Amino acid sequence: MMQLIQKVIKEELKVSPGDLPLAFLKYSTASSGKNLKDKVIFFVFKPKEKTPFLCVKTVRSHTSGEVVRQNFHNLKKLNELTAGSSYQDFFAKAIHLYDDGENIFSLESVCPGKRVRLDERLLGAVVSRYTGFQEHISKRSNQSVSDLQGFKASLVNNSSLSEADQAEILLFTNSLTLPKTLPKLIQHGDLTEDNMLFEAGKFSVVDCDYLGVMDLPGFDLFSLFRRYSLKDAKKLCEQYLAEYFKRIGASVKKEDYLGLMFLYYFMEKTLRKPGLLRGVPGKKVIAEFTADFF
Amino acid sequence: MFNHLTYKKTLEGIPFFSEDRYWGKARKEDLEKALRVIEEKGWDEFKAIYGGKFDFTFEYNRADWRFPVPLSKNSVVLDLGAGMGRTSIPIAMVAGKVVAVDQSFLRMKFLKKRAEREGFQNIEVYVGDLFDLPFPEDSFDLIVMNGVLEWVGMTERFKDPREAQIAALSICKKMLKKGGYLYIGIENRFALSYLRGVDHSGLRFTNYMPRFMANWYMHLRKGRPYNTYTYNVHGYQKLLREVGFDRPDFYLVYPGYNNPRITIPYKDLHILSYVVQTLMPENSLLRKLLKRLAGLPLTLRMYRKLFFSFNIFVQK
Repeated sequence: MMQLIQKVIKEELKVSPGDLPLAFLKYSTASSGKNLKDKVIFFVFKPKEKTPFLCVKTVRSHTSGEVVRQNFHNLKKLNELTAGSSYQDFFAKAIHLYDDGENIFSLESVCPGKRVRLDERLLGAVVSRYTGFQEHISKRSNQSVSDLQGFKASLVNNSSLSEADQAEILLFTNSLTLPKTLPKLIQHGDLTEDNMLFEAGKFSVVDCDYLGVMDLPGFDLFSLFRRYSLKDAKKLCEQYLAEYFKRIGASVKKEDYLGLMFLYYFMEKTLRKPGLLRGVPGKKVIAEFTADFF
Repeated sequence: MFNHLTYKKTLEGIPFFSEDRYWGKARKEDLEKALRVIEEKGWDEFKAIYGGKFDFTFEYNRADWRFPVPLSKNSVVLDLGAGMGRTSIPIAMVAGKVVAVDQSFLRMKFLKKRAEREGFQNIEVYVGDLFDLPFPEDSFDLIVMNGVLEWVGMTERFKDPREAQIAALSICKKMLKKGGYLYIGIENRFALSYLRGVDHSGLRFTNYMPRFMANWYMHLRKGRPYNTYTYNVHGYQKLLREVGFDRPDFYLVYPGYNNPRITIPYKDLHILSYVVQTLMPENSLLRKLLKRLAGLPLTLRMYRKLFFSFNIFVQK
């Protein structure tokens, strides 16, 4: 496959003969391979270059090529939304998608930097920059989620919980208020420290597989806080979300936070991994949420 | 696909080129029992009882070494020592035909059942010793020797293990089509990790010893010769040159050739430096030290000489 990738790079990027042959570093995460949708990544180096100039993403079987296609189109969408702004380097650039029916791969620019463990100070910087990015795209979006109660009901009713458990959850959430409306804002969907690269005080976000799966603002920050510290997630939401909502132009009252947090919490459980709640009692879902957030 | 081959016998639809010889980490009786579970209770039950017990995996990443080789739906691949299919299955997703050969009937029976279950109609299984294979010359686009070459010297047909390895490589060369690839996944004789683990002989440090000493030690401890030879890069190059494979391509593999998560072109020290500094976890004192010294070419030259294993590609 590397020969084909090199040929495509040469043609699409007009690489000069002096920069050939390209060298390929194959990389996949420790969990990649459990599922056919898992990606394989190649970092592409020009001769003697210390850092890669391209990232190639593919899958082990063309039958799972939709993942590559989706990732590429998601990136492209983000590139369009951030073009010309200070956020244009926040994500990789989608360069080319190749699909000949047997091989599929995408070419992207490489986000510089290293993964680092977040501490309180760095988390604050990440939240501030991410909020800025969301503020930027909020100015380019005029869509909104106007019926949040209906949104919640359809989320619960479309989950893999049994009907009785769905009813139990809806009964529980009736006591939680929600804002009347929120702007519709694209969310990364998997904002974790593993998907962030840091270099010289800047950071970029990689792995856009779940981008656009959910557009409810605040979801990314909620997920980030939950994975940063399960026990402090509520405190962090209270600390940062007010400023976030203000900057994206959303009107959210303090009493609506708990209802929103339940929505985020439930989306985390259902949207990325449909079927995760199959056979789980509604009581357990509620108990887990109340233990963390009440 | 190969219509005029002569078999010794056929059992349960699997042709034999040689006598059955069971090998594996688990006992033969355990695999027989596991196969009965598959036949009588199904795969879900098998997974529940045996998941991870035998030398197989349901993951698709074990053939991730394959990317330097151009494979297509027209490619015909020979998987030597195919075992329970951890290479054959992922390769069958991208190649036209996979011919899986192993000395163990039970392992081939497992692979046949798994291929049927997963709907792979392009996997053929055979029981056979590499030295008995009747495939015509110029048959394959790719021959896979993943964890095989080091064991070839166990045969009784040759006195010298190296001689056996050269004979095996020569057979592979004949079976390859012009322009076809031979892939070898194998350990580095001088890998640092052997300080903690055992060599293929089942004893510690025999890989580091001069061959005569390893042989003497093996006779003393196990009553048989030392015949599981591995080499360093120079040694593999020399071995392959003797067969007429002049320009082998080496890749460093992390964590090992059986799970090639990261593969690094051997000759590109700057890529190794990038890997050490950005992609490898700092999970040991050695790694931490290495990360700090990764900018120095001498450190990296030394490190790659001590890497655990290699992916090697040669083209006919």
